[in-house]
Amino acid sequence: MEDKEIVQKILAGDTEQYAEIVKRYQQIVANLTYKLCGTRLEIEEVTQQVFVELYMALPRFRFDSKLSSFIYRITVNTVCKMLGKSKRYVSTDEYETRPDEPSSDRNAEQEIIHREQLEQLRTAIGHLKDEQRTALVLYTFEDFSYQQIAEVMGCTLAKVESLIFRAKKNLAKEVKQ
Amino acid sequence: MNIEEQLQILSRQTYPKQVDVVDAVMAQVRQKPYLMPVTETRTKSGRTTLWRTVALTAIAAVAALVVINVGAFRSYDVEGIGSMIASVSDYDYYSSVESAANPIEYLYDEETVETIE
Repeated sequence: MEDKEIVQKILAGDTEQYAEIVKRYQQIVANLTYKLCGTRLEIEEVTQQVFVELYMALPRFRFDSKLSSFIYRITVNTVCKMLGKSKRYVSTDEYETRPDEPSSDRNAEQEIIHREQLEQLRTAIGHLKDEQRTALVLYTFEDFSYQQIAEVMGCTLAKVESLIFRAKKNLAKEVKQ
Repeated sequence: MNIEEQLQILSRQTYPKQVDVVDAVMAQVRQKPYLMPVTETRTKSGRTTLWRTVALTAIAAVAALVVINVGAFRSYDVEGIGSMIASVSDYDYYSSVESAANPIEYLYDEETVETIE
């Protein structure tokens, strides 16, 4: 069954169908949340909140766009809202260190430097303004086009372009320091 | 390694755990009120519906009338009182000077200076 069909059933009163939507998108939402805020927030808690917000927003869903775009928008808004509420400050230690593609070309020392660089970059991403981070994450990590980002964030193409440009510039500045 | 390359590496990292929030979400959803589809207020082409346009125009017209009336009342009030005070004081001063036998002496007379002050 297609997403839109399920949404129509939910809106017609068959709320149990919502479980199917949650099953389909929960990992996608968790991944996006993780990229947006690292481990500054409880990923499962945010994912749960996103789906509750999505449920309440379903009547506003316009069937001329993809449900996934709508979910991305709700995720971005929920993460920003929850980040605003939690006044915790991001630090490198709070990010989980995950092994990324081990390379045979790097020796142990280079490997440590490589990991440190990535951690530094992650921290720098965490320091970006909400709008810049959202645009950057959607563009770089989720392979969204400018048009899709503009739809998700509810802004113009020019603004998206400028947000990504400024985000990269700020990252470069912070990583160099 | 430059920023772009590092971002590419980060983009391949996903949340390491498998999440399962279905039961938790459904428990909350069952407590929520029944969802009512939102009434369409825009036409397919994106134009607002007629009743909405009429209502907005009426509100704008009333607001404009209020602003114009308040503005007119204020300008009448301030200018009216202001000009009245100005004309009375000017009249008293100049008429005294004109009616004096020697206006120059009158102006430099100590009593007049005190009175004016």
